[in-house]
Amino acid sequence: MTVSGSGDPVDRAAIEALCQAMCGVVTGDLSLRLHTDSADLSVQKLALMANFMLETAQRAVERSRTYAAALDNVQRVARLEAWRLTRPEGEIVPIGQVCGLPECDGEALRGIGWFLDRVGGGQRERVERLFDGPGGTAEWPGNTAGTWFRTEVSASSGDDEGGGHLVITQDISERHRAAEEIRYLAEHDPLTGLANRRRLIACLDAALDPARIETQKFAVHVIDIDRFKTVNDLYGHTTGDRVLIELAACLRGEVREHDMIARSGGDEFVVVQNGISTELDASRLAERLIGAVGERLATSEAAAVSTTVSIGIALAPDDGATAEALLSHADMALGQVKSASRNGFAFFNTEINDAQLARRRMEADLRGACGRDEISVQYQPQLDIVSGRIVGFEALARWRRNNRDISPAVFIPIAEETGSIIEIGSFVLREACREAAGWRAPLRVAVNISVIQIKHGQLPALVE
Amino acid sequence: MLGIIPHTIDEYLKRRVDAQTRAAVLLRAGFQDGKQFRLDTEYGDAECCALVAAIADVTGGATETVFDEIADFFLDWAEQTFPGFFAVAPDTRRFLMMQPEIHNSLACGLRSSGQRKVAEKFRAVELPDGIRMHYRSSNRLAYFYCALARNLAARRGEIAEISFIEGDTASSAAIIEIRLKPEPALARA
Repeated sequence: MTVSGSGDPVDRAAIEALCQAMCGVVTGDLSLRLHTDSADLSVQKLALMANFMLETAQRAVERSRTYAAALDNVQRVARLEAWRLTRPEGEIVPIGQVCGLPECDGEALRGIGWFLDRVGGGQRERVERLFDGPGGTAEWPGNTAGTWFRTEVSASSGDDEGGGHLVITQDISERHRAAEEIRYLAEHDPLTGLANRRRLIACLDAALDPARIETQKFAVHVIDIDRFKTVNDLYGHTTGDRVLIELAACLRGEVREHDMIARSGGDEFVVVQNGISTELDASRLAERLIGAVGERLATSEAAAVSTTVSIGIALAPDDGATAEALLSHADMALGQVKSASRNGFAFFNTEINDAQLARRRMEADLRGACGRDEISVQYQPQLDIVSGRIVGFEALARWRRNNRDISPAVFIPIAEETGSIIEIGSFVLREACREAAGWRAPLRVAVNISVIQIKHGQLPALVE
Repeated sequence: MLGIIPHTIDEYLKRRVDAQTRAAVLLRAGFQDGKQFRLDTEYGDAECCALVAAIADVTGGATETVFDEIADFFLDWAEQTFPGFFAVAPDTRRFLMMQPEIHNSLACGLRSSGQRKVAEKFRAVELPDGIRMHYRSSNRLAYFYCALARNLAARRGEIAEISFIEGDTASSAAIIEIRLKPEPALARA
């Protein structure tokens, strides 16, 4: 026991013993604990605080190990790996257990050059530039097909860990595949695998680009299966779907690689025939398609009902400056074929356009014609030939449009196609009954009923 | 229990009562006269409680009063003996947040590696104006903890408003909220 400067006795031997024991920490064993038998309170306090420090350090190490294990798990699940690139030494310091590229042969990172060698798709320079400045992010394809990575580089300033870059690379192959899949599904018809209407419009817009269209003329063939509704009605939609798949396969076999085929909806397909010189090129393809489809569908389950297609053709840029205009004009030409003979093709021309426009105006005018008092009912007498007496009247609808009488032979079929016949038929029936109720003689009144009215199902209630 | 608690209780006895009364307290608590409590040793929780109960019995005071006095004495001693702990946490809230770590590391530091894992008595959650303490101990010394917190706050010009969210001062498991606010200037003057 010696005496300190303050006059208190100091157990120097005990302090020396503690110091000796502390040397054991050099092995890195933080579980070491110091013990003393000294009665000296300062020595006891020294032992207490030394053990407190050992415990605090041991806890920090244990926490660090726990976090490191958690980090390894996070890296494994998230498929990401991290490392520091020290500057100016250019040394690689791994963060976590493995330091290479996630899901890349399990090879350890051997240096920045090794890392950059694995950047594919001509992106090496772009990724390399991330290490020049404050950092950034780049997504790049690996050298193995289908692999994609995302690398984030952030510069670390010269703190305790020194200057350099923190580099985190994540395997995003799955996400990339999913994005590709989503994009594919958004642009393709799931039944036939052909491009859908959305992709068709985008391709047409691109082809109509002024810089391109000057040198590249093209034809838009809108193809429709004849009597396809009957196929569905008779054989069911499964057979209908098989016919559509057959047709798609047939079209694929007939067009060139740089032409485009799309299913634009229902049983309507579109072929964009690129790089045509004259109308004749489009005619030849249309003829070939009609022939090939005819052969192919002749062996299908629905051959008894439908083996042919009709095609309407619009030529770009003459027949339209927009995708919608081209498709609409090709559709008009298709309508022309359908209303004529089917199993053929027709080009769009201005006459078709005029006729179609006139018809569409008439369709529009027919809606609400009753409300505008443009529809009237005229009565044609019915005679008993034997007695020569009038036995009744037939009620007949008449349409006066813009001070002109429109023939029932013209407007009734349109009214039936557009559904306006329901309104017109009801009006005529009510008018005829009201008129007949005022007749003194016991006469009959006959009213013509459209099949559309009967299908509509409200006729009995109307009559009552 | 950390040796520093029975050590300071003994120091308290040495300063506040005569040798005969101290001997009577130690005897009643089950210790021999002349017992020296070491700083670097763990003692049984029951021994500490017995010591406090014996003081109350021998001096005729309430246990709570004894704890209040020991808390004041303990903080005097601790601020002199371990000033570093108080220097790094200048306000009560920060010290109370740090206290579980100090307690656990001191307690575990006394144990060999095989016995290190102890149930943590204290877990502090930070509140905007104080802390929420999750206390678990078979000693049921929540009252002592509150007395220490109140006394520490007073030393730093703060008022500790203490409420029990779960349990009470005698519970083996309690959740205690300690809200701190500055002491009015008048009171401090």
